[in-house]
Amino acid sequence: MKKVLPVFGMVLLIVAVILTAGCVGTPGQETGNQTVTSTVTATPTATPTTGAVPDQLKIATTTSLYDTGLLDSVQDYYLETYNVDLLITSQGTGKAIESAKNGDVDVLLVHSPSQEAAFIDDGYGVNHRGIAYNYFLIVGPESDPAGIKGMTPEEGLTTLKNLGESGESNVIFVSRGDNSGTHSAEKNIWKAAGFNYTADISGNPGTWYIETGSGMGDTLTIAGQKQAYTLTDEATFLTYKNNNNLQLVPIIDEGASLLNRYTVMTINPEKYPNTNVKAATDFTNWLISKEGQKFIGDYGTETYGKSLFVPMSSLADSTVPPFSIDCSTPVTVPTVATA
Amino acid sequence: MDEIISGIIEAFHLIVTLDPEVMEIAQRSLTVSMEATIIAALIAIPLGAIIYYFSFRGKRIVIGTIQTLYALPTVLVGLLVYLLVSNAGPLGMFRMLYTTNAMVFAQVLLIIPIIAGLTIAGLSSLDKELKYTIQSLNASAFQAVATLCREAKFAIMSGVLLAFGRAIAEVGAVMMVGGNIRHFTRTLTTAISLNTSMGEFATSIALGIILLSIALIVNFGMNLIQTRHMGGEKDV
Amino acid sequence: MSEEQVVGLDRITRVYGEKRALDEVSLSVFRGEILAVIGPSGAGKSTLMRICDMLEEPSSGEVTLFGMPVMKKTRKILRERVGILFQKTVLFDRSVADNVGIGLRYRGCSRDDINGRVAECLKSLGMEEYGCRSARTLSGGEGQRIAFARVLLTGPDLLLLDEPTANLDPLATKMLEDMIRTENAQHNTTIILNTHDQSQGMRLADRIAVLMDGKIVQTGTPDEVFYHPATVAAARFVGFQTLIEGSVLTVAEGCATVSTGAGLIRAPAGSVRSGDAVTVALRSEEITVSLSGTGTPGSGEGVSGTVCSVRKLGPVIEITADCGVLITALVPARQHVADVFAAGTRVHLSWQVSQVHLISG
Repeated sequence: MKKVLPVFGMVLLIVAVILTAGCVGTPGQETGNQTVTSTVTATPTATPTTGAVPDQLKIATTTSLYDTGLLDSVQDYYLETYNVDLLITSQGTGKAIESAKNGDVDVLLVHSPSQEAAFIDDGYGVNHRGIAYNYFLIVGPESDPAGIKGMTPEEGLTTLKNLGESGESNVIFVSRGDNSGTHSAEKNIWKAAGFNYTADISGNPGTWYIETGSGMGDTLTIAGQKQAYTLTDEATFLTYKNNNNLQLVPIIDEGASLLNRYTVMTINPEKYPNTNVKAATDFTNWLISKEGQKFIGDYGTETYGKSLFVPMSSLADSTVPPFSIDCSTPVTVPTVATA
Repeated sequence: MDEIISGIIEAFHLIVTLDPEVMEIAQRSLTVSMEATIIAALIAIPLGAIIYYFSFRGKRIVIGTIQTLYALPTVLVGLLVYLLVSNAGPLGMFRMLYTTNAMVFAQVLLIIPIIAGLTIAGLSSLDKELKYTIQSLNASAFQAVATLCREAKFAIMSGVLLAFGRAIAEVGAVMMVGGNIRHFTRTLTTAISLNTSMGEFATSIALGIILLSIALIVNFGMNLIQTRHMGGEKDV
Repeated sequence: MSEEQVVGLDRITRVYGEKRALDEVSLSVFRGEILAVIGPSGAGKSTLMRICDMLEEPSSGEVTLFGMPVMKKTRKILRERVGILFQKTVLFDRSVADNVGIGLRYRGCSRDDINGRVAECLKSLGMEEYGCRSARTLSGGEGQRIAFARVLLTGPDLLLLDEPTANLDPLATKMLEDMIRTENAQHNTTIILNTHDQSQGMRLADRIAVLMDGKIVQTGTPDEVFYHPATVAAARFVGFQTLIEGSVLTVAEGCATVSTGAGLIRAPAGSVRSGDAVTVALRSEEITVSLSGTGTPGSGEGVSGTVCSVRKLGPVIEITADCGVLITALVPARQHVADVFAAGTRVHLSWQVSQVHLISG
């Protein structure tokens, strides 16, 4: 046995060493380019920014928000500025909420009003604040085979259903089907159009209605490949369209039911006292601060020519419908009632 | 087609320039899977040897079960570990979910059957006279198992490398329990999955090439071991 | 003089599934003797060895070693005194010296002690410069000698040798046989030797047991086993090629006359009585062949027949003649013998009466 591990290690360590060397080497070059002074004063053990070990804040979010890249930028900026490492895991809204309910994260960032309300009502979340919004889009092939351009979202989906069920083979709607925020927005439109989603749509699908069970990006790819219609958030669509040769265009982009608002919540420390509630509070306050709101509002303007998110603070009053969320009152560290 | 070609060109650029993010991800993948493989080997080799050496009721069923678990679905392991280490689960107090430790844990569970099973297979392929000779020389159970494992070291090592390959190529479990967190738990496979869904095909291809290279190196190592083993047998 | 029993097997049966590998075998082996167990492949010889070495448990029956019954409790102590060597050379994938010393290592001897004894042992084998070599580089004969040395170094009082030379060339066989003889002579080690090579049994054994189909059909001195086999199968195994069924007509003055398909054949009577059904057994090399009508059969007796097959076997030629029944003889392969005794030739086969062996039944 003594011989087994060293030989095994030899094969793999070579690879590891090469890669480690690569990792260590490159940042060194970067710092060299950025600041001449820091390389002069830096000792081998000191990191250029700050010596303290960064605090960690775990965030569960949705794929549609994460896939825009906004949170990666926030992560880099926040670590550098506040020395807090944001550990962001992105899942469908349903699963993100589940992991928040299990106390596996400290903060929840989602966009599904009904699920958020249930989460708060069940006592899992506190310090609920709105941070940004944009609009969902119904996108589809440029030729618009169903001819739904100019309709309301409800009319559009109804037309798709009717044409699809009548056997129009080039009319297809691709749904996330994963209980995500986007998926629940879709369900809300069906409801507003007078359908029972479970019975009429999901439970009675024809070939025209496809559920992917995947993230927004994958769903867009599938819709693009099939030249189908789908409901997407604006930000992911712009990001994705920019990165790929996606053959889809916005068909319907107006209507109250297309509003997509993003909110933040802290996991209730009464449920899970071992979460990082202090950092969660700070982060929430940063998101609704002038600095945070500007960061969100500026994101994407360089790359996409327009911002992907509208900061919630730009509204005159966010507490009235359709937004119905406080976006400005700073939050405080929630107190835990001791037993 | 253009996407693939430009993706490959971009991929080579990322690799040749040692893109820090790509390298970091590759290194994390290696570290996690090596750690998992070493821990799993430390558990599974003695376990396999003990199962091989001692006769007990239901031994065949145990071995059969282990062999079935070679194909253990990774998402099932992911789910199991998720439920165990989630803050609401029995091991919640360690706050292990979404850490590399949870990923190591999942991979360890995933590959223990492979290493244990191939250890048993490797030991079983030894001449029975070898086992008899060791017993007859009055070795203690521990001495006997150690000597036998040493004799089957090539077969066992192949198993260990195979297990490493499975660990590093696995995506379902590490995605679930690691959460694919940037700079923290993102590995080659979860990054490929994410970048593909974000349409960043070049990065995906670059990561894929690295993953494939690691698999090739492992395979090469395995072949080397086997050739040495065969060469040795010819001499006898 | 009461002999010390080293191995006592009492009605040992070993069943594998449907097959009875050993069937009620009882056997005693005494201190200092070399017992050869002979028998065809699959007779149960190796099973017998494994049971004697406590590697396998009998399905029924009792094993006693050195006067102690074999049980879980006693196994560890008894194993200290028993060593086994297999037909297939078992070498560990490490150095020759490590191979020789491994038994001592298991016994917890100190490194210096092991090194010293291993060096001494290799020296006595004339293999002192082999110590550092990988055991994989040894030839078959060298490997088996090293494997044997490994067993000897643990100082066994009972040695079990399971076809130890079956894979070796004649020279290597002789070297190993010398080691066996020396060990027995110097340390009075009791040895059980499995072999399918009758002549090896003849060369080494004090006593031979014939094992056929899981049963011991005969035990006795080599002469008894080779010249007075107890059953037809044993006779065939030890080299009696001609076996003729017949019945005893008369017994007079220790001489029996047997009526057979080849006519009347006389033989030492032994314990047969007139009227008994017997088998007449003849060793091929005891039969002389001559052309009919040339020369006299001499003091022996014989039968006439026609040659029906001639096979060249190197230094001898095997001639089978139809004399009412088929009788096979071996003649030295001198020039033209094959031509002289070509098929169809009338020949006379003769032998000494004292060389004829009768098997009851």
